[in-house]
Amino acid sequence: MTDEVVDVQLLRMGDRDAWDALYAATCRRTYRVLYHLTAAKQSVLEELNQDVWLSAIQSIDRFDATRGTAADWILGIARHKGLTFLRRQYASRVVCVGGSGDLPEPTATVDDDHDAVERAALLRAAIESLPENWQYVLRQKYQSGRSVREIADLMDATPKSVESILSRARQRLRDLLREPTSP
Amino acid sequence: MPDHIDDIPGDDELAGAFDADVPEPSPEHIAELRRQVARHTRSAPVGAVLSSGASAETKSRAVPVSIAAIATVLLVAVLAILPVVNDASAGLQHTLKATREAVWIHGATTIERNGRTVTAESWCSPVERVVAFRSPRMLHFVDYARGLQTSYSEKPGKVFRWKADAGTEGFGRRFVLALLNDQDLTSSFPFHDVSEVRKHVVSVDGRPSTQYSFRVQAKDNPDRYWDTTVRTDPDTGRIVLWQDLHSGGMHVTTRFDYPDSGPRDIFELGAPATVEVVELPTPDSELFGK
Repeated sequence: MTDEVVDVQLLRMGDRDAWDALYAATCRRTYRVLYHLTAAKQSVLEELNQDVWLSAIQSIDRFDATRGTAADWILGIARHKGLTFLRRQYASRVVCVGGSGDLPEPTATVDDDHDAVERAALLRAAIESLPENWQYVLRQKYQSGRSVREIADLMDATPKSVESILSRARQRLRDLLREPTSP
Repeated sequence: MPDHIDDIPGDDELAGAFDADVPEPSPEHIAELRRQVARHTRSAPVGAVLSSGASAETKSRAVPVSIAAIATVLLVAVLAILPVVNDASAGLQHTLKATREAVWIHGATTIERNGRTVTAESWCSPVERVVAFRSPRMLHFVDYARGLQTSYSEKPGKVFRWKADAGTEGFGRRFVLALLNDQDLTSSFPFHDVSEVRKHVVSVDGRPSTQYSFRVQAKDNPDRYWDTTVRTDPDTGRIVLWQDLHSGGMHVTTRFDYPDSGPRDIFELGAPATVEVVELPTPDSELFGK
């Protein structure tokens, strides 16, 4: 717990052990957030993940601990990087379609399709950014179609506590989806 | 392209958002990136120096982490993050709920190691959003309602006051999280496993008292662990004793009580009323909009 108490201060100081602890706890989650947003191949995901972590080390002074945990912060960086990549990919595809530079007028269908794809990606990335027990409850509820009572039985918890998690998870998802998404 | 997306995800949308086949990063990538992170960071003594980057005074000011603070945070944070997977864990959650409803929580901590004993005190008020620590070496007071923290030690004999978020993840952010949120256990004990969560009923002064225990063990070194025991008050359900027995021989014991009031600032905590108060400016890098 000593590490727990001082970790942000140590992160700010660039302490190796503190960063290693944050890395061990979060590196797979940043990778999965990037996958959800970009669906890129492994080599690209690894490059993006590296960019996320090295950017985090460089910009730790901007981390405001009153707005979330260090893990929340770095997952936010991953969402930002992933979305930037996604939009660049989209832009480059449009250029390819245009070929010689004579770009076609974007149609409503293209925009709608892209917005839908982006929203789905953002939602998956947002879910990945939630605490794992919240993800578990959401998965049981919406993917497996279990009732609150059934989830409570699975977790040996009270229905009230499950409802509380569901409520907070939905609120957090709403907040994450409302984050400004322009890179 | 929308600058933000502000409608609420529906049930069908949520149902379709779970991808059953998410690839995991390769072990080679995990190891290589870990090496890179290590190359861009450095070794530093835990809790040795508090650096906000604001001033020379800040950089040179040594602020040891209060052991009482650690104990209090451990008490509240661990209870908040233990997953509700069995009766013992559910009981711990209930205990947390009862504890955080107290107006003031006071802990008296004793640390014994290698025949040496250190004592410290801590207070926290979930209602007032205030946390305070007093050890032989330092005083520390954090006012989350006002967003300020203050620190005092005999050397240099000044009160330093600065923004509450700097260096307060442990007894600030974690404390607030413990009050308001669920946290998953693994991310709160990096490199550690929590096991053997158990619930017992023991007799204390002839009265039955519920007691919880669990082990926190380092993943990379199973020989390094600590066993925690939490005892509750049979009448109120609140925590009255927290004990950690570390494999290295250190024993940390905190006894809790619930006073009606507690310190309101660093001076009520014991800082001399006449000492100079030094305001530490917010670093440029932390100013709003940067």
